Amino acid sequence: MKRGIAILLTGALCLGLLAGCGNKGNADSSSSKDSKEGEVLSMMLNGAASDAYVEGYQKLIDAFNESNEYGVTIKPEFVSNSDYKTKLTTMMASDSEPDIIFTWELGYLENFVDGEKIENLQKYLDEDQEWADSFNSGTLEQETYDGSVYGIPTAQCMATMYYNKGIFEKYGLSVPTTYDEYRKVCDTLLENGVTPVALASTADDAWLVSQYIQQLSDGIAGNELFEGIKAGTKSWNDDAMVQAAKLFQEEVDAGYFEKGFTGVSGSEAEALFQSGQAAMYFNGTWEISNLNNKDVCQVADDVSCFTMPPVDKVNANVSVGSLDNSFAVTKNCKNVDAAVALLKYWTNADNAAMLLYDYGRMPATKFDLDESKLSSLSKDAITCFNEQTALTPWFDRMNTDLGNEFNNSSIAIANGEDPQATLDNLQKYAEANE
Amino acid sequence: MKKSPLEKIWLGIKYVLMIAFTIMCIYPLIWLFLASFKTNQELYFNTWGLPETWSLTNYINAVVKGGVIRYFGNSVIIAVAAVLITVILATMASYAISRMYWKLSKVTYNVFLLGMMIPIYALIIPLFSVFKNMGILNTYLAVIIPQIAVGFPMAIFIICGFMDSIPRELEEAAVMDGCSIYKCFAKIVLPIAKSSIVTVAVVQFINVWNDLLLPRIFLTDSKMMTLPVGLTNFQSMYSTDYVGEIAAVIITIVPSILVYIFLHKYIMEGMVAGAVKG
Amino acid sequence: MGRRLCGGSFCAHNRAFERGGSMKSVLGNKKSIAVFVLPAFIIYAVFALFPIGYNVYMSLFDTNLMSPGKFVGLKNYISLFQDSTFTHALRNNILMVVGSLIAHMPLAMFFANAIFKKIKGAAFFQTVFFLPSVICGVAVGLTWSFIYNGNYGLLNAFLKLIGLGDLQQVWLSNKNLALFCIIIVVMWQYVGYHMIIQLAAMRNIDSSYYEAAEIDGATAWQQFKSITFPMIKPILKIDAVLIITGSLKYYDLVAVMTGGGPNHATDVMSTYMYYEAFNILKYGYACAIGVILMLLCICSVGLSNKVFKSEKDS
Repeated sequence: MKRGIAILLTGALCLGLLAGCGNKGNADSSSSKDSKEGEVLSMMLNGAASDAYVEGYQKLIDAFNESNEYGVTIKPEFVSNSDYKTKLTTMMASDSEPDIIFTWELGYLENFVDGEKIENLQKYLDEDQEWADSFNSGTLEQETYDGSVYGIPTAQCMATMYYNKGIFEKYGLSVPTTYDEYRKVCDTLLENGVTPVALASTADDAWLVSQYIQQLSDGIAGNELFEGIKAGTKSWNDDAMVQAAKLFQEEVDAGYFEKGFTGVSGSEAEALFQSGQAAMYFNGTWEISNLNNKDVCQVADDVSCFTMPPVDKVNANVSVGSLDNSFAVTKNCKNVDAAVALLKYWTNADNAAMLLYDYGRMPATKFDLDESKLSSLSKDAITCFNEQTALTPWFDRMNTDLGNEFNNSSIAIANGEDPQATLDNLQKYAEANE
Repeated sequence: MKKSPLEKIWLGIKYVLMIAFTIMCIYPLIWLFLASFKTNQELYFNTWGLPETWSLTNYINAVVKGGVIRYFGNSVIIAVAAVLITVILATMASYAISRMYWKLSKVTYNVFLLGMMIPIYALIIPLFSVFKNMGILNTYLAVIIPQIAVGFPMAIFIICGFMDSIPRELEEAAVMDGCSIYKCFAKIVLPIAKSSIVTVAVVQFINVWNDLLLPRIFLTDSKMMTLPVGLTNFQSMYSTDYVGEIAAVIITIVPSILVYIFLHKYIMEGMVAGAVKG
Repeated sequence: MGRRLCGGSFCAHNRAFERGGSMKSVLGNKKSIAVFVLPAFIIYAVFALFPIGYNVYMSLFDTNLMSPGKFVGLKNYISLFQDSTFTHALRNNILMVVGSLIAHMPLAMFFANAIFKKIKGAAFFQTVFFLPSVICGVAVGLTWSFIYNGNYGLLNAFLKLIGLGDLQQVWLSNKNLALFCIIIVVMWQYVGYHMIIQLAAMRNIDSSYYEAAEIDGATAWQQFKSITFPMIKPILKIDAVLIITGSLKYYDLVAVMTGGGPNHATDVMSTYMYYEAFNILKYGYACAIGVILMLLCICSVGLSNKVFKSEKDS
């Protein structure tokens, strides 16, 4: 008898606890409520509370939910960058991916396209030629596999060199137009005890160093080098790449980057520039909103930007750059038409303009700019952007594995490893993992 | 009794080392606390000094933008449930393994210990499929269950170690007197093993409370996230808001420190004590 | 393993058979054993054993879990040992085990003994030393990254202060030093944890031993050598198991402080496994790393049992 009671009690306790927790969980989820109002499409985006654009995206989605003709409700979930890949991989592996996903272009999306997880959107672009034509040239191509488009870019971004106009004026410097001039600007700044360039290079920011080397290599050998490496016709230890790495190392040795930059994190490098302690800051167009923000950036009024001048003039205006915030529709999506409607809505002129004016997101589509609504930094950045003849995507977006190894090699080079030997090793790794 | 000079020197060395280590333990906490009031720029240019102004901006950000308060309740629910269930079930299992007579007890014990040998990262993909089939993704259960499962090896390891040391005569006498097995467990072994059980509870609480991985993978609704997940709200694709993160860190670690300070007396007794006698 | 840990139940078996009768029927009752063990075991089997088995199985495939995998037998294991990043990670784990054993055995024992011998402020030290192990990895990693920082890090400032300015470094970016920097933090974080385990064991020693030793005029060192140390040996074995398995599957601070960088210099098996599985989607390969990790844990636990056993026998 007593035994029976004990069993019952233990069992009841466990069950009660388990059930209680489960219930609380269900009570919090609002899916049951939403389904009455109409179909719900889940969407997973890359963003954290500290990303200013999250607010803009939320606004856009809310507006779409109010007005769309399909009567669907988009339920967005923002996942911070550090977890995004883990979470999406896990969901994909168990066939429970959301209906619409954030994705990186090229190699990353290709995995999922090959795994037959992603809807082919070519048909929708063919039906709506106007929409297809609104995208900047070279954008949709990066999400095209076997002749069909699988992902829609909503923004673009590229590497830029920000500079402090005040500091430049003080030392009588002008924006360099050749690589030699760039070196002279840096030398002059050094002579005057000013850190020329703020650059981050801790593990999380390794891509900023490789971005610098890639930018130099773009200026040496142009778009052909990138395309060659991508197609496998050129090697990672191509002479141009080795030369770029050597130039970078020369700059490191000359002290162009802040002291101890190999241990400086992204936000620390940004703080150096924002407080006027560094004359230049090599980063990307996504930084515009941070640098425009007078609350955090004391030199906000003085910030402008330029494209890093090429080593070889022939390759002027080839920069590291690519798409930003692409979205793809997964095979799990029951209402692809509505999902595509969202993407059309997202990339229409009004919304692209809102995201540009209010959140500094460079659009992936063409529309008439109202320059009066732009900050001077945004205007400068767009000018630079429009001058580009070609953009070479970051290598880690071209191929996650090899690109990450390239980032690692770049860090090794920043730490003084021999460029030739390091890139030879990278090439060996690439061949071994083909 | 007078101390020889050699002993005095040795005592001096002991004190120097222990005080040095005390500073090493406390200083980081003080630093984190001070840093939580700084701006991002102060963090880099006035790293070790006092904040210029004692502004609560970071805490306000942590609460408003980071949603830390809402996560707090979730953390408490998950931690309390996971700790309770782990402790209850592990104590029961340990009792059978350590005190009862059956052929497979050693095998069972070793099978449980296997769980200590594999990192939790290796388990999440298969677990995701299991939870999907059970339909409990995005419920607290999806976080609580794996915490319990991976908590068992450590818990059983410690509690068994303790129970093995309890003299058998006590129980044997009770059984001879006609005491049921459940009474033996509840009235005799449980009170003696109390300290090891509290130890397991504290260790498990710390593990669950600090865990970042499971909630991020198994929960999708941001309303259900736990406190440490709030920390990642400050990390974006291109940069990290460190001071905001530090303020959230402070809010996160205070409960673990409090739990520890209130219960540390038990931890002392509980840490596999007694096994020595066994 | 576990043979001696379960020694109790084995002896109990024999005793039970000797006495027979009601002891055996009560303490050997199958139904009550099931009631006690099954709830835990079922949860454990479904949510831990099954995933472990799944991992072992998937390690034989070349798969990214999206497209159907290709059975490749032991190929993943063979490529692992030709993969210099993996062998380097393995080496790093071994260094981590060694470092942890040093800090968490002798050093922790030193602190435990000092507190055990009722040094002034013992209760305070005891509380404070445990604090680091309570704090989450993110907080610890963040703090120590600032201590190691090249420009304004405390460590560099300290070196300068004591006239060793030449040794200043960007610590976490130096491929030869970064791992040791992390190991030192791991050592720091868990000294208190293991100190408490050992202290608990010391407090359990019957004080009459020490009283007798005092009368014989034994010095503090002699008391430690011939009473304290032999008496806490069983706990040291348990502790060694915790230290070794913990260091082999270590993940947290490496991920927070260097992410395995610079250029894989600080990668350990767990971080490498995570990277392979979730960043570049080589899932089968990652599973193979997990299996190797598990085998290493089992082997080293067996080894530590042997070491402590033979010492006791001799």
